[in-house]
Amino acid sequence: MQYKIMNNRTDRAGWRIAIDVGGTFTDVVLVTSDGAVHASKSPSHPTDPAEGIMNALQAMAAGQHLSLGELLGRCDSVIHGSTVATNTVLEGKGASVGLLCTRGFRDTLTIRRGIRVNPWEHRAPHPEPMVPRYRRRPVAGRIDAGGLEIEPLGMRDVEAGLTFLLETGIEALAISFLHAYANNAHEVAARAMVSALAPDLPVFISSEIAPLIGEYVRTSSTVTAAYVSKRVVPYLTSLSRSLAGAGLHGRLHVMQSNGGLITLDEVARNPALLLLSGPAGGVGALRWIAEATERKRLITMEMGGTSCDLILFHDGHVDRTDALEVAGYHISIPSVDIHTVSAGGGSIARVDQGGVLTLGPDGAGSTPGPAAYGRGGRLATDTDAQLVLGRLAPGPFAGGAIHLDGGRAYAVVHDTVAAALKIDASKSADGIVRLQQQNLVHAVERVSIERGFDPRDFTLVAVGGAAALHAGSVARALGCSEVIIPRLAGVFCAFGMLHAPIRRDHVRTLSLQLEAATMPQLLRAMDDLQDDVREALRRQDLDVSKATFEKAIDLNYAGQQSAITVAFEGSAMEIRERFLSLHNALYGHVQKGSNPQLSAIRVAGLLAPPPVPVRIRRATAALAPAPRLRRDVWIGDRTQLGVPVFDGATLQPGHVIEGPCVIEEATTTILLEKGDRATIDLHDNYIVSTIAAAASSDRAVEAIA
Amino acid sequence: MTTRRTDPISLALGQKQIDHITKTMGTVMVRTARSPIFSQSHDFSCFIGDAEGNVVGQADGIPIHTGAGGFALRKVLESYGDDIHDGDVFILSDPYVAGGNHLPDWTVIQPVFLNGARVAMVANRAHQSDIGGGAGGTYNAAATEIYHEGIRIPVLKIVIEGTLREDIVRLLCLNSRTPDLIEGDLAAMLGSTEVGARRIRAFAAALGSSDFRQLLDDMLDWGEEIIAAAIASLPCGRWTGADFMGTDCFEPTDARIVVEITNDGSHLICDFSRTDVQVKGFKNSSLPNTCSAVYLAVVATLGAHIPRNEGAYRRIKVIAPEGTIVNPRHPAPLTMCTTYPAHQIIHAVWQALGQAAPDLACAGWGRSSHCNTSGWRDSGGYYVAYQWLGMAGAGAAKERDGFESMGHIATLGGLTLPDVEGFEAEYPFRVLLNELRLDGGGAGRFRGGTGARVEVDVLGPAEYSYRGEGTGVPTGFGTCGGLSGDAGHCVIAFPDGQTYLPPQYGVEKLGPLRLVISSSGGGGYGDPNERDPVLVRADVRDGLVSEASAASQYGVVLGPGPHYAIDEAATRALRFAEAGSVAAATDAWSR
Repeated sequence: MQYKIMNNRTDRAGWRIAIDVGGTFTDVVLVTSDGAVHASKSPSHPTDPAEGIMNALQAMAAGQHLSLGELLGRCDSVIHGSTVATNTVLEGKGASVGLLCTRGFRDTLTIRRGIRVNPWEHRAPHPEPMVPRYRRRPVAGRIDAGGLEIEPLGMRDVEAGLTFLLETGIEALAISFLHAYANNAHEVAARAMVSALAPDLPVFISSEIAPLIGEYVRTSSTVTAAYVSKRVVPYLTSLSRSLAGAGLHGRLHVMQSNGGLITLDEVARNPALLLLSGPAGGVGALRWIAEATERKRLITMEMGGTSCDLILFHDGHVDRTDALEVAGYHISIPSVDIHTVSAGGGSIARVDQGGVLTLGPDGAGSTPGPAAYGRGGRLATDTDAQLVLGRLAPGPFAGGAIHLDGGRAYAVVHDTVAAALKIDASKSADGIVRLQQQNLVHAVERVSIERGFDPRDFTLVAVGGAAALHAGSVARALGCSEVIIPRLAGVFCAFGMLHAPIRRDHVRTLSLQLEAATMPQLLRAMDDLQDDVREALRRQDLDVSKATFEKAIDLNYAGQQSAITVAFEGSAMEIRERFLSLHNALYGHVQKGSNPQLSAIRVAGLLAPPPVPVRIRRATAALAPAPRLRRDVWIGDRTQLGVPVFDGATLQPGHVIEGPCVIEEATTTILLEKGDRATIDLHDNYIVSTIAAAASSDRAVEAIA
Repeated sequence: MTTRRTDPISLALGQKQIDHITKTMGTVMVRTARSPIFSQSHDFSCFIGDAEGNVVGQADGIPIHTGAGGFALRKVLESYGDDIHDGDVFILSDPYVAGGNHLPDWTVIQPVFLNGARVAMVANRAHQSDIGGGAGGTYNAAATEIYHEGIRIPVLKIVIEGTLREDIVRLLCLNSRTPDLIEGDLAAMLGSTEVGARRIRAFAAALGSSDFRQLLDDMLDWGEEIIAAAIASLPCGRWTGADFMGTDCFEPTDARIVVEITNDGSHLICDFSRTDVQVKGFKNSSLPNTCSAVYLAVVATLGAHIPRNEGAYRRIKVIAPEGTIVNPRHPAPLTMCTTYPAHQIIHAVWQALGQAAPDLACAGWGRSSHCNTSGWRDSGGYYVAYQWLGMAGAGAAKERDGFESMGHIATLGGLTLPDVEGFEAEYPFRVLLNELRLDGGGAGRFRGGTGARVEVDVLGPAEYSYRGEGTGVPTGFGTCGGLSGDAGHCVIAFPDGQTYLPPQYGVEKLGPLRLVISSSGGGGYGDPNERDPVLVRADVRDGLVSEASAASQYGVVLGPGPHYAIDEAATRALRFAEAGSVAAATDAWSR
């Protein structure tokens, strides 16, 4: 299937490019029409990411012996994952936003439902609201919980509020009225008035940004969309112009948090959709790995310097969520459910006042970074420990961008950890690494066991620079028998974006009992919502007749805070059974005699991407090459002498490597323990079979089941 | 402290694993419980004790539960002795005979066995939606004996070697106005402890019984070492702190919570001997709750790095004479204790410790002025609603202003407050106003939280259980030169235009009405004259501090709105003139 884009030009060669801009590197992956995949990494330009992108594309073109115009001219589409929205929030550099809210409710954003992640840390203030109180202006008018108007909209308040806000110099406006999820007439009328008075002011209304019950998160989401619009929209517009000017006739697609693509005009309607733009790209890569390796159940651990992102993939699906938290702000947008933990190569180890080793959650980042980077880091990190254990080697690291200093690593582990614990540096380093592995095991349990899945049924996928050193022992602790390390791990998300569909998610609050008698009402609501999705796709010049739709409903028992999303297929009775079986899997029981009730309905519209015709490589019949060298490496509970170290660049599909050994790839290092066996498959993935201990998770799984 | 035998790496890993298991238990609870008090407000705790009933880990739970759990674990051991078997699960609530903290909190406890021997105990303590008694929703402000407060549960076996006693469940459900919620929530509690027990058993099996027991012992010692270091960093000496009760629920009282804290260099001795005798109403505190409030106050002062386990609490000695408010004699009522007098106990400890360590001092949080409302829906169901929209302002601390409107001090703000929309969808209420107050927060270099003003129309007849703790006089004390927050206010307006000032406590049935609540403000930290004028200007522009207060309390002179330019020369002059007067005001407040 192809993207059916109306007004399609026909003089292109069907190439596609994905660009993932991260904090440090800009990754570019090109797929040409013959299925060849070309990847590159270039330094990002933090101050002008578009400049970084054009440079990276230039380099890619040069590698193909083409001009930039020739390269872009052959592309159907350029796909972009960007951290611009997230960085705008993290750096606090968004628009000056005004808010029109229901009279009497100006302080939703300050009170923020009192939510504190750790009440014991009571000395930590809340983040400043994105809109200060004086820029939140009250408007008369009330809708009740049933959607009925009980007080008409105060048009004079809208005008007065707008006038005041314009004088304060706002750059974007959010409108969020109580119960707008049930009836948005007041929000729509207020927006119409604002647009008439201030046609150039970007306006966002809560019933379009996050049409769910709960004014705090709905308002917060709407304000966030307005806040990030200032940087997201101009940045993408100018990038799109630059690409067109350089010869792109195809379209620019942007990666959204839901793992699907969207066009520029649609981003402008809700720029917050981009908040997880980068990591959500991993979903496409998972889908590709699942197909290429014929595995149905995967959990990715994408672990870099500061954090580890986990995504659970089963039978073609990833879990989804509406609840995001970015820098302490709560935002509801349709997202891939990515569980992020503070566990990276830079996680800092310390000894507390009770003489116990701690790791993280804070990290050394890339500056100063681990002590071994020699950039001024004075605290021991995971990376330093790996050097002490001989798993990482001194010298060039991360594709040569960094030089690791083994002496500094040893000194920092010895001085800041081993001396306080009164044990030797190797044992200390082993402790640091084991704490990190425990972090990762707990994180995998969060995404699997606590959602009703048994991790033993899953293959771990280790991507990012730091994951492949830990993945084997994490797999063993959980009872997973297999780890996949894709060779494309270094550009995992960019590669994934090439496999992403165009996707549109709509959700609507609907309180209803689930029973045969309410089905007609439910079906009508679903049809309405599907029409909305169809319209949103049509706005992007897409051939809606090719779209597929996924429908689901949120169900819970009365009083439950969280809901279970269940596919909307079949009769009320069948849907109810589906809910009961999921509830039982998640929580271990069902409530006899209680009928589940509906809280929301969901429709996703998708247009599948053209398949990426990745070339399959031929297996070599040759034996694996000899190790590049041997060195002493701590494995298990002691140092083993003369462990083989392989140069990954010399390994080809068909080669089999047995542990214990270390395999050094350009952007990651793989540790195989005794009994582990790695095979390189025809898609250039390392498939590692581990001998699973199965002990701990055995009971853990039983516990929930 | 004994010599540790677990190596430091295994201790680190083991302690994290115990924390992880309590969090997993909490996740099961949040996701499965039916009443919003758990799923939305997280009014429960999961904890793990050793075989002797010492709490070793409590990573999940509300702060006021943190130090009370061990009393319950040890009461199970005391009550059942050798008659404790694999597969047994216990339930209890009574504070006089069963180690409970107050009656609404039911505690489910499951001993964990490995190879026939008890190696640990896992527990879940959770506030029930209704337990009978004289008022819906567990809080009977008219109670004068514990018998008026609902069903008393001694230590009972609710599961005998794996078999649930349905008869006990029926008894418990029959004694509640909300049997469906009780049944669902009890199932969630049992599910949560079952998950915890299985995971602890697996963990103990992986380590082996003897190493596992040693690990738990060493975790307690580790907690003790950390708090010992923190106590050693405080000066030695004796300091007194006090807070007033205000009302005994029936009439005004002069009764006070008084604590003398002595630091002898290794222990904090918290002596409540000068606290008044128990009061008539349900504002007495069971000993477990008193200890918990003290631990909470100490940990909040010393820092979040202090482990919440009973090893750490070995270094905090609580002296609470029987017959006082902080350790009443049967049958004194005490259901209110987890909020009041927990609030007063925490304040008294903070006042004492604030003198010992001004940099760590915490200003007082405002007391609440809201009530609980319960009644029948048009559709026939019974509802119990906590009027949690207008929460009080929190006190300031060094480098942080007070949270403007925040859950109780006894939760350290760990309550998630309702959305207006959810509130209106769930209850027969219409909310007209929920906004921050003007000039409610105590002035200070760091300002106290200002509190909120709420107007709610209750559309049908309902029952009101008042708790006007924060009304009338200021309750959030200022510290280190900061001023106290403003008093709260609660008024009822009837449809005919008449208004009514409800009592501070009491239970009444009334027709449709409008509740108008101003919550009290938190105290400030430090001299208001030292507050950054830029922040004072922002507060004025935001409508949280008036121009008059900016001048009179902060000594900041501003130009006219909407820009409120800072008049630097006039500000300097005013601040110079007023220096000293603020300190005098603070002294007057603390008497």
